[in-house]
Amino acid sequence: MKSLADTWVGSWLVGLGRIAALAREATVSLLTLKVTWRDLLYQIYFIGIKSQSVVIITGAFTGMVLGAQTYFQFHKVKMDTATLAVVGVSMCSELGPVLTALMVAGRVGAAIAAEIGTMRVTEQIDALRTLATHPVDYLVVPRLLASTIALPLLTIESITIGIGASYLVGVYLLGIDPVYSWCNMLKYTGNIDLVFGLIKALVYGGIIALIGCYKGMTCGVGAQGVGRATTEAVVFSSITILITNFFLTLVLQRVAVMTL
Amino acid sequence: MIEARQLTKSFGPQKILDGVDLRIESGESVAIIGRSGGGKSVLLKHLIALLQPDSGDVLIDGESIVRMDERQLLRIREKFGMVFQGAALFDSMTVAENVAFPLVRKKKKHTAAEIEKRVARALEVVDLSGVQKKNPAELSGGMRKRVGLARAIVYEPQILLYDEPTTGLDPIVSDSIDQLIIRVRDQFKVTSVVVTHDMRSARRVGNRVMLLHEKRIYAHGTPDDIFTSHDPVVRQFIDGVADAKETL
Repeated sequence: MKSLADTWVGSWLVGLGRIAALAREATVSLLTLKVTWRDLLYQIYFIGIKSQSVVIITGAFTGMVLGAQTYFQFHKVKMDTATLAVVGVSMCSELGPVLTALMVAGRVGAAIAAEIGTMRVTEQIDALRTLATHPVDYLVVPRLLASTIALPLLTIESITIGIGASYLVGVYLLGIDPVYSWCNMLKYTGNIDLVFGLIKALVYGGIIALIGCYKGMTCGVGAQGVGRATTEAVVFSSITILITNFFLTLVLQRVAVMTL
Repeated sequence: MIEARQLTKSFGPQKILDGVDLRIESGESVAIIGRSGGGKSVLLKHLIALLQPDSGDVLIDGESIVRMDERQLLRIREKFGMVFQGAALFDSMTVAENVAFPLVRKKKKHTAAEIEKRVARALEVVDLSGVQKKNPAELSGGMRKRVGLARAIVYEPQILLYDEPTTGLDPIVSDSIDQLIIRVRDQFKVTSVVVTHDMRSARRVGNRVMLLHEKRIYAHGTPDDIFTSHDPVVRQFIDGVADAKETL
């Protein structure tokens, strides 16, 4: 009979424990300010600046299709001017952070896992260790910090582009009244929706970097090992983001009700 | 001083090391020979705690490194330099950045001019002046190993570990790498541990030779002792004679 550790549940729990240990090690390193600014700036450039096109396209088309679909339904009950309000709330608290995180997980999570995985199979991580450099200080911390800084900024960009694109489609293509739509959006989209979105983006940034780094640092041998690590980084990040989103929504709503 | 006591290591069901004992004094130059896949590199990696043994102990200057965590090991590893089989150069950096890496990461900060000077000097020692701006991908196998050695000596460690330094190189380049190991040993007065299955190289670079056979140190002595030994196992390895069943 298989022991618990040999089952997929066992290996999943072991993986979870190792990611927690990696997060702890990264936090210790962060608190002792072991980050190199040059590495951090490069990672912000790679994760933030280089993800612009993906995030802009995702935000724009999500906003446009959400605006159009909402209008088609609301038009039946003569609520055309509420379209932008729905888009605003949805983009700020759910679609903006989640879709941005999923797109960045595909681009950045895969790149992190592939880069660190290649370093592992070519003994570059061992070389780091022999040169008295902790791999977490040098490889994980700059990526983790850059990802948690870049994700909220990319989310703001995605939300802005999404609402703007939805406005253009609604007003110039579908003929919604611009003033009423805009006023309704401002009335029903609260600051709290945006705060929720940014908190989520912060958490997703951490998830993408941690899972990418973990998969890279534990990847198997050879090109196949790197390939598998890359795929798993994207799949596990995406699934974790979607599951976390549900629980984070419940927790944030509860906190908001208690504090406001 | 490096000491290993009853070192045992398995990967899954396969036992690689089984009760390895060795002692290397400061300033010594030791060549560890043995068959491919016999556990030489695994043994070498235990000496710098890149691998942890299943049982046994490794002591560096009398201090056990087996139960140390990764952060505690950073202090111990400052004594070491290591040249990897595949050189393990950072491929996202130029040659100069690779060699400068340990100086940039050191707690004691060096000025840019000082780093540049030390990088140039290290590259000069390995006969590679003027390649600072090249990328590792533009270098040949022998050049990559030289850069790896320059990176390992730039911060003047006390102990240098070489993992198969001549594997995959032609005899002329192998000879130049051997000469380099001897030059670095004599110039920097470092303790050298060279893992190799190249008999010519082992004879030249080692003051003492150890044979790893059947998962433990089978024989050790001066190069002359080993290379003139009449022990059938040692003889078979030195002469490079395969068993009948292995030639089939």
